[in-house]
Amino acid sequence: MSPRQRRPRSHRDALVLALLPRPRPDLPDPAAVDLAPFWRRFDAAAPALLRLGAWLAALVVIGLLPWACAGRPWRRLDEPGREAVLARAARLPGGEDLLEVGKLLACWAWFDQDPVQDAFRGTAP
Amino acid sequence: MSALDGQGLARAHTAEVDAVVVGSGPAGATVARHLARAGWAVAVVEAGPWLHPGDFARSGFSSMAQGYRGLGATLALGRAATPLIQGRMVGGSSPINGAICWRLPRDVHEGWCAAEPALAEALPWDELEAATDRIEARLGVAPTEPAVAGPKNALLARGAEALGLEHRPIRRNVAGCRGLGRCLQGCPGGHKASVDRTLLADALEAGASLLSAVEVQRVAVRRGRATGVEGRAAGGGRVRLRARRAVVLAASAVQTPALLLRSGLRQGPVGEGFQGHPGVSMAGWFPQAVRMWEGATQGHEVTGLRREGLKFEALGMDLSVLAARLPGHGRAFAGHVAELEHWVEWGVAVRARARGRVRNLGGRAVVTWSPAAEDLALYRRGLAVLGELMLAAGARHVAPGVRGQPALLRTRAELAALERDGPRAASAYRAVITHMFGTCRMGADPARAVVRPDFRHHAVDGLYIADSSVFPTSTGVNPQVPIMAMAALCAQRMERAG
Repeated sequence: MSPRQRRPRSHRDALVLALLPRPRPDLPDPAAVDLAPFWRRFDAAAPALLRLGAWLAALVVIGLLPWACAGRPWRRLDEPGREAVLARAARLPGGEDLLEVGKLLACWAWFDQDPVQDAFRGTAP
Repeated sequence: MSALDGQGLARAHTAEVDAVVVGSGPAGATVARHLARAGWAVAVVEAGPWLHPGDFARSGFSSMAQGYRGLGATLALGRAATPLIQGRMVGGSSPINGAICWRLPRDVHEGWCAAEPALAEALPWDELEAATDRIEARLGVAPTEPAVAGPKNALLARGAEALGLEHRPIRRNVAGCRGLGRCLQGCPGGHKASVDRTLLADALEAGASLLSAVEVQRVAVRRGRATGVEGRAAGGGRVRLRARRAVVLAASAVQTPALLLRSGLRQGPVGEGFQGHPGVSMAGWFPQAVRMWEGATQGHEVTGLRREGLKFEALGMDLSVLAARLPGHGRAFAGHVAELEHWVEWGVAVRARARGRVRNLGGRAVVTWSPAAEDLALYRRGLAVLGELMLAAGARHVAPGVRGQPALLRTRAELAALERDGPRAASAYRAVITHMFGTCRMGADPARAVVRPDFRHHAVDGLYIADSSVFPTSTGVNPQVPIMAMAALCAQRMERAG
């Protein structure tokens, strides 16, 4: 982890970072985003089912599957190990749904950042 | 005009007017304008906030948190969980829709009258057309100009031309569009002629009052007559509005029946017959940069298969929503996001036959709906045609987003196989519903209808319903203009009735 990257504070943080790694070197690093403000706004605005889906996705993919797949927690997996967990999640019944929720959250969180919007749209308001 | 923001209302508020209109979207704004101009004292009550062009956020998440009901994630539950996309702000969904304007197709009107003969006299075609003409004139409806269309719309035209399908620039209610591509987040330049900026503004100018951020909780009824509404402001204060002449419900095909049920007004098939106009989409990768988020949000459509129940549109959406649609996860997904400029997404709206239901559970509207087998067949056909349009326009590969199918398709043969052999399970498809109908249907028989052909509630005097919940069926096309035309007729009947 580079000095500017933040350590994930929660399973939800780790989930969104896992699902959307930095797409290109010239684009802002998702791992450098403080996700706490995003989660506060998400928790305030999202309907209960979506919040439940986010919690469940994080629990299953980040909390449980690493142990089932590799016998260790997510934070101790290298990138190939993490990709293997995601692939395993996709094969679970309902796993694709959980990953889709996670992807949506990852995209919402990353593209909500002004530097990311600027990178794609330019700096016009 | 007077405007009260419920976010700052902590104490009780009461008022008495001639008519209370619940909902400030296309239907409510149309009714309020007509009645206010006719000299009625009108109060429009809106559950959402009043947002102005400078308020609209750039990002998809922030804009959806601002003005979409439930972050755009309210679901119709059934064999698949289908998002119901509704605005929740002054103007209803009109500030955050694609600005697409369609007149009510004559064949749809004919179908309504064939199924319910009383409607032929109650909703004369010439009167609907005249109302539509006036609405289109006020909203400045015109075809999308080529100068603002942008590459994604031009590519759809190219694909349709290559396949020999009838297509055209979308007619939109915009003024001075600069192709910012942010219709679905709210236009920051104020170029969309949404009803808050047109019909509702006219109503306010004619003396109507607007209460925003006030949720109506029940319709008050005394001795068989609607006497007003009761609600709660976002700031906590109780709101009571007394109506001397009429209460008009225009809160959408989901919220209107839920309000009736909360109020104990269960006469007729309230909440039954929910029809959605679901859309499915195809993403396609083009070798040239298209930058889908630029240009008119939805500027071109393919109409050649409308009578089959399929209507194709270029889509425009925020970066986050486009990205989330792309296949894969982790490193593979990031690879697609890295090429976001090359991805385009087009959609097909399906005139679904399935019927669902709106219920009131714990004070909230809950919708159950599942596409029928014939609707899923249309999903498959629509996706196949979308893929062909993209390949014909120059896409290298397309991503149908269908569970259990290859993530990327490259040939017409693969698309034909999707149509022929694709999944029969609703849960395999990613659909969203943005147009909703039929939950307080109109008809002469009180056992089979909630409102009479003149929009009056069958059982409660002084209560009218003006939104798409009275529509007998889905229109099969973007409904904001038909909603306004029908609401105009409702207002005319109300004025005649006194």
